[in-house]
Amino acid sequence: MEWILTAAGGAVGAVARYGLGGYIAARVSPSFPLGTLTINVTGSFLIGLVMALLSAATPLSADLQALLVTGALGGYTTFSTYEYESLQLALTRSRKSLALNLIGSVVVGLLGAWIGAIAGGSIRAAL
Amino acid sequence: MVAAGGALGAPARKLVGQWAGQWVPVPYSTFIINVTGSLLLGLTLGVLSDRLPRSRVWRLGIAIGFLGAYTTFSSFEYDALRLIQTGHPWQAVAYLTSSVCAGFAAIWVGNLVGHRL
Repeated sequence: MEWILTAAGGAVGAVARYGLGGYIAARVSPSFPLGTLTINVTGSFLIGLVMALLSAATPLSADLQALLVTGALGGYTTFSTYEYESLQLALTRSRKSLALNLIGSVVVGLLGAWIGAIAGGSIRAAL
Repeated sequence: MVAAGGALGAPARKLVGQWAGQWVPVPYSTFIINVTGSLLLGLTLGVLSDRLPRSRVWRLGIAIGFLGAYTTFSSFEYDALRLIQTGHPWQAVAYLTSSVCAGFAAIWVGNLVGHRL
């Protein structure tokens, strides 16, 4: 069951990434990969939130984690495209954009996961 | 094509993660996934841009769908957050830095090899 849920979540997450990435790419300058950065930061926020809301005591916790975390959020966020777009910035010698993308994604993503975890913890405490 | 690739990529990540988890400590299974996925993406796009520059099907299915879903940024950040929360901030810095640098080297090498195939 967990494998099917992971596959279903992965399909939805990948399509959401493709849709949002295309939407952003059509609206901003192609010189900086803002789409992937936005996707990875929002996905990192959501993983912090979901993991804080789920606990071993949550009903169907393992199934929900397979669907939402391993499947949907894992499929939505991407490391390989982040590295590929960074390589393109390096090859076009856009040093500032390269540094901003490589370091900025990681730092803002970590902040996102942290804020998500705090928000999830507050929601759990309030329930 | 993107959905089909994602439906295969996410379980592939789970499988490799479970297998690698037997040999390396927790966050480094994600490290292995992200570095191998970056190598494969560099290779795939290197080959596709030379041989099939107009092929949208393979680009959507393999590059965006499968490899995009196989690699993950959310677990990568969550693993680092857990290291910080459990009192290992320097391990988190080492994990983040080594993943980004190894992934960058992997995609560069993959792309070079892909263009030569």
